[in-house]
Amino acid sequence: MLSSTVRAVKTTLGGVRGVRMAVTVAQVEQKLKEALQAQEIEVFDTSGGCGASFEVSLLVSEQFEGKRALQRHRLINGVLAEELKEIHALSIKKTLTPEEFKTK
Amino acid sequence: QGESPSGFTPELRDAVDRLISENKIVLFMKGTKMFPQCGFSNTCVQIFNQLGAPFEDINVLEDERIRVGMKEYSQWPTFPQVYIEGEFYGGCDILLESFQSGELEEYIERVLAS
Repeated sequence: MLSSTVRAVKTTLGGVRGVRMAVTVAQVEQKLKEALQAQEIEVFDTSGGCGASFEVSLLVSEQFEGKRALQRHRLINGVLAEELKEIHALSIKKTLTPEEFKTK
Repeated sequence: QGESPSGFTPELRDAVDRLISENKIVLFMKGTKMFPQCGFSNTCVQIFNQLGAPFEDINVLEDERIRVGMKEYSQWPTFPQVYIEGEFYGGCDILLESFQSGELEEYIERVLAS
């Protein structure tokens, strides 16, 4: 998948440039995957290496069922409460239920 | 959450209550609507401008108590924060998504007409 290649490159760049990598893509992904039993997940470090800005491009979880965007984002913010003390910016793009993911 | 709302006094809380109930749209942002100091805040300003929707802007960089306190008040960890009709609407991503779907324009038209 293209996105995983992009991610690998970004992570490498982050490792080279980043002096204090407080929060990592792997850490964010792992937490979300476990807490929300995510079926699909795409997270990018958009900070250019400082680890303080992330984008959740896609997250597919059954737990989004019956929830509107605000509630879905709150769920994600809740899972990342600890990390958000370090992260300045968290952009959340697509939050889908497995059903929505199939049709979109 | 965790972070103590340093100096977010009951008086300040009341002031925020009043502010968001007396203005139909309030944007808590980094910088001002004339001079946004963050891309996400700027996006929100552009959206409201494009919709021709008047809004009140509060620069959270100007006051540490507001910057820390609003995270707890909204139960939302980042800025910008958008309030419409006294209710928390969301951050930049939610505003952008509903703008692109046309939902926001419909909602704001209704709000401004009421």
